[in-house]
Amino acid sequence: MEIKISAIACAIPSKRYEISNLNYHLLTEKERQRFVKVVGIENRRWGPKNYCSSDYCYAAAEKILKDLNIERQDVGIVVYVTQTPDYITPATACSLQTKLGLSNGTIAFDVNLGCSGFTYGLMIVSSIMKNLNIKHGLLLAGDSPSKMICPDDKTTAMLFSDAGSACLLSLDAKAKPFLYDCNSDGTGAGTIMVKSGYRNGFDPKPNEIGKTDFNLDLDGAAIMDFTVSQIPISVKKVVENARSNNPNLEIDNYFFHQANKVVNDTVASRLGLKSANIPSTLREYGNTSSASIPLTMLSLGQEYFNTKRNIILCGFGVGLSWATILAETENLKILDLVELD
Amino acid sequence: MEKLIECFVDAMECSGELTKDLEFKNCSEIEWDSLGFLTLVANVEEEFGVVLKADDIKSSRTIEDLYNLIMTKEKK
Repeated sequence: MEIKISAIACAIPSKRYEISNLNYHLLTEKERQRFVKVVGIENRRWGPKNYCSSDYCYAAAEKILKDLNIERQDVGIVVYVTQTPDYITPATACSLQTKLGLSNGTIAFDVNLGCSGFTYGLMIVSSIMKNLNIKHGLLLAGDSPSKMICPDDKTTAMLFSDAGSACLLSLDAKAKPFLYDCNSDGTGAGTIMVKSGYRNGFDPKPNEIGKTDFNLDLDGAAIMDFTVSQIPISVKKVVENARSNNPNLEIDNYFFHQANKVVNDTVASRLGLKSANIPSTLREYGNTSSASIPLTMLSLGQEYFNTKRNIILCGFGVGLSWATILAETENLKILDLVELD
Repeated sequence: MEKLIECFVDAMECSGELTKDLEFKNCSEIEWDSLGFLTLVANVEEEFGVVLKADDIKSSRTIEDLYNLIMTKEKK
């Protein structure tokens, strides 16, 4: 038995939490226009303070379980990929197991990954399900970047949105196996980092712009170097691997993590891809971390997925960490976007 | 060289005439920032099929230095 992607749902803060980068207070009008043109992010959504990313993932998972009438005792695993867990410990996945009414026999744990987290998560959940013959599994992936970003830090403030996703995976006799390429490179650990933790301690002292060690640091140039050099290699590897068995394989679409327009365009150019084959949700939602790939899949709607599709999914970022997956989808259910008020 | 100068003009959205001797990280014609860096890398990739690294830009002083580096990479 293999594993198939059965359903995808996503939840985001409602429209009233939308912030336009065209009004960002620390840039001039010309700089804002240029930012939107180059980075491609016009709007972002920062949800209310009392919402954690697990609330978005919970809403998305509930939507799948209810709308598709999934028997909750058939869900044998829930993995929560996040960098903004409810607590430092215990794992939020255990709370989600209870909130979602899943049995005590459910495997539940968190994975600390960001933008590569959805594709890594697919590899983790599907491998365990296959090994243990689990009927249904839930991969929940999402972050609340609004909680880790200093609003007056120009290098990070305009990039991210809060979002959560849920992906139902199911055992299926006819499904084709996923093809993977998963990687890591700790030499780039400092490229995307929140410094606070048990190594550096928890220093609450803000600097002159109000930024603390609890806030996210980004090195944009280093991320560009990493993405443009590594991602084309990883995608090519998976596609060539698939074509060695099936030379006529056509890829319908490439779902890249949504980080930055100019970065994704350059990766596409290296791979010789047309932009029409690379769906984007950057303009409306910006970088939604590990939820960006499912959110972009959802943006194409049910009709697109009514047809059998060969799709490449590629997540990359914090770690550094990156993973590409080739999946064949059939009858994948796309649920309506949930907007939390 | 003209192609590279066009890459610069587009990336930095500058109107002034740029010359090959321009010390591009330290001049009044260009406001050098991370968006400019990203766009320049993208433009050079598109025009020359060469991916510039942050270190390549750090080690280049003038536009001509960068041009020579691109030509070396292009040959590889």
